[in-house]
Amino acid sequence: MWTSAASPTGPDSGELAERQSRGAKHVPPWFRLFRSELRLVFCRPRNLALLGVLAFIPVALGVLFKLSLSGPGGGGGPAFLNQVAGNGVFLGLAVLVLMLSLFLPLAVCVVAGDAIAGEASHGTLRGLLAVPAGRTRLLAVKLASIVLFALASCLLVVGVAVLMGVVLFPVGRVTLLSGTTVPLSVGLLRVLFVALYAAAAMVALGSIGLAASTLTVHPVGAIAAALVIVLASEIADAVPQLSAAHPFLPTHFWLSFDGLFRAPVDWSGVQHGLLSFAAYLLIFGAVAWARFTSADVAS
Amino acid sequence: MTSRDEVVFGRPARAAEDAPRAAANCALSSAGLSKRFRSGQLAVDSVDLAVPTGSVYGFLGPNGSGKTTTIRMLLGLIQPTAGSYEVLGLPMPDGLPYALPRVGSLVEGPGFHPYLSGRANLARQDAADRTANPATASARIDAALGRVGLLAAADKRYGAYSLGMKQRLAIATSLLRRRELVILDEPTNGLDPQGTREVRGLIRQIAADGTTVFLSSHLLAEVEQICTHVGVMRTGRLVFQGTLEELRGPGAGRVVVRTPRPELAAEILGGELQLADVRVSGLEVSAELGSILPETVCERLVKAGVPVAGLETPRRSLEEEFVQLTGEGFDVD
Amino acid sequence: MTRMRRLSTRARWAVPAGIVAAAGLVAAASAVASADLAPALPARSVAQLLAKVALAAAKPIGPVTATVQESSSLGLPALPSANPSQGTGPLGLAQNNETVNVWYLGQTHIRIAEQTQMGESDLRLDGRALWLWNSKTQTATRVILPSHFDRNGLGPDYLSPGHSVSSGAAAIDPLALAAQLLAALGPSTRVSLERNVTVAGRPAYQLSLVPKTSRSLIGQVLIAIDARRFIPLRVEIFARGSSSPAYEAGFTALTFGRPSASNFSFTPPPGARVKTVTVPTKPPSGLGLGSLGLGSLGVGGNGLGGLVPGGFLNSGGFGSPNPDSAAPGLRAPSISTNKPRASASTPGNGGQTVVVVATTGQVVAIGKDQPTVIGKDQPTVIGKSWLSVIATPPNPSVAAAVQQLLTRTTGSVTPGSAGSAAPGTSNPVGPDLAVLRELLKATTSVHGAWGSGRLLRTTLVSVLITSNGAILAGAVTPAVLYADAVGPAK
Repeated sequence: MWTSAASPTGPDSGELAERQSRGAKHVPPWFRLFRSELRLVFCRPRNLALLGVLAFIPVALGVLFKLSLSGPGGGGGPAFLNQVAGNGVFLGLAVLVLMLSLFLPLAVCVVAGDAIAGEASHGTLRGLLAVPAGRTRLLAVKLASIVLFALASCLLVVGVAVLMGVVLFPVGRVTLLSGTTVPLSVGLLRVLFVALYAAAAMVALGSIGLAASTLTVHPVGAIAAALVIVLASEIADAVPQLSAAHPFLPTHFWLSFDGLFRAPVDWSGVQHGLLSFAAYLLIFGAVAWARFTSADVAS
Repeated sequence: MTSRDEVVFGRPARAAEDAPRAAANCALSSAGLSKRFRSGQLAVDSVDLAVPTGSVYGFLGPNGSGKTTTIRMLLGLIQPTAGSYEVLGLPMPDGLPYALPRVGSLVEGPGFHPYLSGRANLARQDAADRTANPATASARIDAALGRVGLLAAADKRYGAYSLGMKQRLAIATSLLRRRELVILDEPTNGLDPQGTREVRGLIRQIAADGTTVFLSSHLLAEVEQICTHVGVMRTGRLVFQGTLEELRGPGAGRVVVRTPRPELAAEILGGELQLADVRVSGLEVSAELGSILPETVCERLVKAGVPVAGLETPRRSLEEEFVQLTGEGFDVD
Repeated sequence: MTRMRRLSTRARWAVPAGIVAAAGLVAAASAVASADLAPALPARSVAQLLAKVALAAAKPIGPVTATVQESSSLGLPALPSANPSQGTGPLGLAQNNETVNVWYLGQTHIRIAEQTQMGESDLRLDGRALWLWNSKTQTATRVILPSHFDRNGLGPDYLSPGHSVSSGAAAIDPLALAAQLLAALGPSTRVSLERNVTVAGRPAYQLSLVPKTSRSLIGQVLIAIDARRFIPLRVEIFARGSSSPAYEAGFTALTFGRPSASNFSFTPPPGARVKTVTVPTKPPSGLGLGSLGLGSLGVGGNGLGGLVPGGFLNSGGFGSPNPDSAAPGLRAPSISTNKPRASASTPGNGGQTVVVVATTGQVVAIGKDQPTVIGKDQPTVIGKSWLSVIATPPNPSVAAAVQQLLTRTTGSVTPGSAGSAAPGTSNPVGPDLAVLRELLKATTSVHGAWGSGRLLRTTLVSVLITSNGAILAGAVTPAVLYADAVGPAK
């Protein structure tokens, strides 16, 4: 690469010799940065606390439901809750639906809003850029870490909830919304798919948070901005006068995975949702890129 | 302000046509480098830097004179609104990814993640460098920590570091690899005298290795002690650039006469010799020498019967030069 | 990377702007693709088109999988029972959007599913086995069908009298039938063809019916008719002077082909509540489509109406045995008398229907899925075609109930006190009277030479409850109701 050609003095004494012997241990530079970024996100005490809360809520809800539920529900409460008593697998869905309204978006907003603004406020951004980490490269790594965090938090929530469901409630064939049943393995696979779908929704939200994060040096501002967008979108989604705009709202398709629990499986909701998430990811990813690669870093 | 330009000694600061030639043996050079912020403020106004390779360049100027903005531009953090610049002979900003790995830098104080250890923070910096060899990373990190004397505290949380340790860790990032140029922005800012001494020692070491050092400071003493070259900024403009000797200039200054009869001496200095700015304070009389030699002054005084207890022509201090250039005083160390 | 650096700030921002523009274009293109493109179709006269429709109606439609969407914004106030998929529309008025999926193999194998968010209500007919399923309550209801069901399934014979025109259509000359229809419509209605449209991706002719009288609240009815199979694809009802339909029902997807047999069979899932209801042997007389003049088109026979067995459930026959399961059937006849039957018959529980003047003579208020019988009198139809008004004779108990609801702000009225005439229902349940109260709150006090009472006006329907308990309803201006009230209110 560059070093050997343009650095006549050589990178370090003995480095060339080691470089030759690297061979199997070769780590691509982007992966080094990505790994470092993951360490930053997943070892940060605040983020660990967030994940801890995300893992605790399904446990608490499971116990709560166990104490309050007996027999088929009366149709009230959150979706799928009426089926939890009959089949613990549904605890995963009931909890996910509940947590998609606040806790999961909150966690993702915190990590995404912190991505660039946090580095700027710690004063580490100028150091990274002077290394130089490369602005596009740094942004890509930040986005990748947000993707992983979204995935981890959704799988954590659903995983813990299903585990609690298995522990606290009977399990067996899974009754679909359509009233027919599928084997437990198929049901679990669909629950896993729902978790992945929710993670995709959170990634789209994460890209909004990332874009907000490039606009300010105050992480709290970026986090708040992303959360305000979530809340405004949820409110707008509930106003029928705006029904024409609903499909364009970032939160509109978050719960559109119910088609997976119909017979036959109705993919249209999931398709529309994934399309919407991809559009948001592209648009806000591009906004973040345009902003971050052209902005003056004065923090 | 333009009148200030006239008093500049040494190499004229505003010589854009010299810049390309200078670049050949310059670690840093710029021509007409300017930055106007969106607010309309002209933070850096047409700066022509020439930092010779191997020099220790003191970038002097009061707070707010545009030093940090200039450094941010040199490191590609801020886009200049006009002008061009080169780092290690590579035109910027295209050469940024190739030049910057060979440049160590500390901009505006240390910035690290408080919940990571000093070692982990350095590891993160190193991981961001796509040209660094991961196989030698831990050895290089330990070496850098050792050089700044932080090996013992390497695994402590950065948040628990003292200010001096933080500053030293920041310098350690520029020691992670062998660098050809190190840019340090106010490296002793906020340090106690002990810490300041340590940091200055480090800078001397770095310079002794043959690395070009670009040191920004608002402390004249710091620059005087370490630097070979000086650039002086005032309200966004580079009002002087040259060696320390050039800044001091020839000794032309004042003459000070110690005598028991100051009134008579003043009469002769002001009248017969027609020196300007004659001042009497106690038993001392001073005046501007102008073109008259000190020997002549002594001779005339003696002839006129003034008992001369002592006569000296003190060199103009750097401080006076600096004040003259910038119109401001120093923060006293 | 190097080249990127040279991009100006403006050029960088052009990237997200370009992506937004591209996304907008894609969205717009897909909207256009699904919108009413006007396809070129062979020109036909109204009579020719109606003849084709009559022919098609006489033939069975064949296996089909379809999605039907119904939406209405009738200008009713938002009601407490509105389900989550319905919210308040402009000016706090109720908007109703429903999507129903239909799998149809033949008269004896039908599945209708109303999909709500995280919920579903199903009707499955598999030979003689009819099951209703509600995922919200996890309830499976087995419906015991009358013995003569075997013959025709839920075919035209069992459907309401409004369809009888078409059942004989095959026997007669379709063109003659069309001419007959047009002649019958002639005095009251301007029938014409509007520009062609695309509905559910299928090219369609568009038949326009415009009342000649200005006293009808209906400005225009548009019926999209498939250009290949000549079945109705969509009905839109416009209020007078409005450019967007107040009521709309039609296919959003339509596929011809055998749906999988797994759609029709049903076994109650473990843990579900299972109930059984029995359908009365004698088909109850329905609230005919004829009341608004549209039924005479005969589109219901084997067309849309034939698709959906729920049509028979509409007829009010469910009012008695079990109110819980009665909801599906009781919804439709209330205000929209000429919607495609498919959407009218969904077995869901999110219905917005509030007052049903069922043909059995019962006046029934329905909240979520709890009908309350308030009065029981034989309704009559006053007037003709567009000015038809349904009326029940004066009933003191209705008047008393109305009075009670208007004065009380809390608590609930027991059915017993609401109407002594309620015994027609064997098993009255606790009323969801909040709905009725909300509805009554939306009424205004009116009086005139005919007497006094309370008037409910929506964009398409006027309802008048006189002070002596007579109820009149129709898609007409209040003046028509006042004129008609002179009769029964007397």
